[in-house]
Amino acid sequence: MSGAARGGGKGGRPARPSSEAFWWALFSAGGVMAALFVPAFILTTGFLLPSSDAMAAAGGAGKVAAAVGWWPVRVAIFGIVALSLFHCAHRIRHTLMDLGLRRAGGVLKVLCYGGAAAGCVWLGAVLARV
Amino acid sequence: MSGQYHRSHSRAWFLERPGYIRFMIRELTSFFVAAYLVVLILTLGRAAAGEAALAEWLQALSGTGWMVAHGVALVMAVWHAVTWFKAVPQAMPIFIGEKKLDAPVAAVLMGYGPWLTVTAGVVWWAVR
Repeated sequence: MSGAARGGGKGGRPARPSSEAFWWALFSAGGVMAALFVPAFILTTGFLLPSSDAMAAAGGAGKVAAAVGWWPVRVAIFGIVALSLFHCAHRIRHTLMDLGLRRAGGVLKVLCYGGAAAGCVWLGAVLARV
Repeated sequence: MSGQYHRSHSRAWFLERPGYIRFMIRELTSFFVAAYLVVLILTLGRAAAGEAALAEWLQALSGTGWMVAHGVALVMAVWHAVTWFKAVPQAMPIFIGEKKLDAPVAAVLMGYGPWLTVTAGVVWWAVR
């Protein structure tokens, strides 16, 4: 078995612990959340609740306010959106690497996962104010 | 990663085979889902600003541009879901005793069933 296959580093040195398994786990969990919930969310906030009629829009707004006023809904939304953000971050990172940005892998890692983390902080701050 | 060999290829390598194009479309769904999630957080931000602000935002979202954008995002999100449910039985095969559960059955149990249940529940909440 080669050193690489055993997880060994260059020249027989032990490899640094890799964070890849962690990001792949977040990718998988987020992939499930995005698949199960995001189409329904898009249907709702993109088509069913928006309305050019002021009364209907106010009705939709009241419905959303009542739902997110209940803390378990806020916790669920946070979990679903946070995991989905990390799923997207991982896939975007690998897609950009596949499209020729492999040399910028380190920067992409910071930008993609950092962006997802920033999105989570933003989402948390928003949900705390609802 | 240094010390590893990467075969050189053109930047448009994904156009070389239909399978590569399908792979790239699947990967690109993540850009659209991410963009939608940003819009969703903006929507929640409007909810935090009060019902009047959210109602105004929901009126804006009824514009043609937003509808088209949401339509594209919906197609991409559905494509993500379909490809995900196809991959799950391959990545996580379920065994009942010695027998592996058939992929279509596993896709329904672990994917399409929960998906339709969640979607029906959310849509019912929105339209009731």
